[in-house]
Amino acid sequence: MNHTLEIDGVQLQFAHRFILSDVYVRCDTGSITGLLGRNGSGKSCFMQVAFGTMQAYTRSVRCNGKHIRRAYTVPGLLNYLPQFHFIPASMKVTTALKYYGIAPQTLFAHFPEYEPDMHKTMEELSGGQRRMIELSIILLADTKFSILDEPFTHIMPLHVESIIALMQTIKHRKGIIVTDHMYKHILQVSDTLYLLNNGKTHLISHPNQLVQHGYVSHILNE
Amino acid sequence: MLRLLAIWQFYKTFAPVSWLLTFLCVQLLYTAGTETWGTAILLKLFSYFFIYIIVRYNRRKEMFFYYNLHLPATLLWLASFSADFLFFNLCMLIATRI
Repeated sequence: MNHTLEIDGVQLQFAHRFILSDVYVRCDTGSITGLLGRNGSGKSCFMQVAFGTMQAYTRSVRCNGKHIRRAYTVPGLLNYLPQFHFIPASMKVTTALKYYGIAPQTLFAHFPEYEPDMHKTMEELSGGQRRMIELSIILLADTKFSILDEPFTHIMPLHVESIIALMQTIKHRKGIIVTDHMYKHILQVSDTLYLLNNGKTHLISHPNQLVQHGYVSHILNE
Repeated sequence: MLRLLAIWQFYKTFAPVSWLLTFLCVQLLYTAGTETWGTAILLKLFSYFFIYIIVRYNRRKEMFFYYNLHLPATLLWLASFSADFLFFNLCMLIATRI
């Protein structure tokens, strides 16, 4: 079954400065929605407002047109990968997987190199490994949507490719909203792209629009 | 069941400190008599305030582990403090009967 997540009407301000004022982001099952923006443009705040863990003056989060007050409290609706490590450091990888209802074999199918680390605690892993485990858990968990805040940070290039492949596979059963400063990866993976600038979202239909909005000076072609 | 385990996981972050205080209160009650029960309860409730402040500040990032399990912070705190307070009173009750 296809689902639609829409977030708009968000008004968020800190110290009389509007961080978010006119945003609209839509994500459907089967698609990856990219969100780009400069440092301090409010991407993470927007994601936390959508997730329901940050209060905004006004906001509207809807799933299939139905208004949701605090999205994270609705079982199976959405999960969120923050920029920082969120799984307790003393927790074993297998335990974390169990909490999120993920069979270890499912993780090994995508990342077999993590099989020897299964019985290690999160603090015994390197920052990159820990990030990979957390990202995989968020993607593999049974939710309708996943919101990923800088998923490619601290991840080595080879694993970035694996993560992009996993996102492409997973999107058939869930919608994904993703933001990162590695804009080329976001351009590569996104079906729909928004740029957050001056508290407003702009739908980007061509990469050159990122130059017009001053997000990048030029688009690198490889 | 997993929700209960997650609440237990959350409770474990401050349980040793809380149990230590419970033990001290029991010791106080055992040596000074039942008239100290009121003071012990006040001490315990006061400790909850500090535990809340300290855990909220130091474990802010880990809260997303529970949010991603669809557990609101209010539920985690209420369930943990309720269980701990029940355990505290049970220990106090046992101490008065010994």
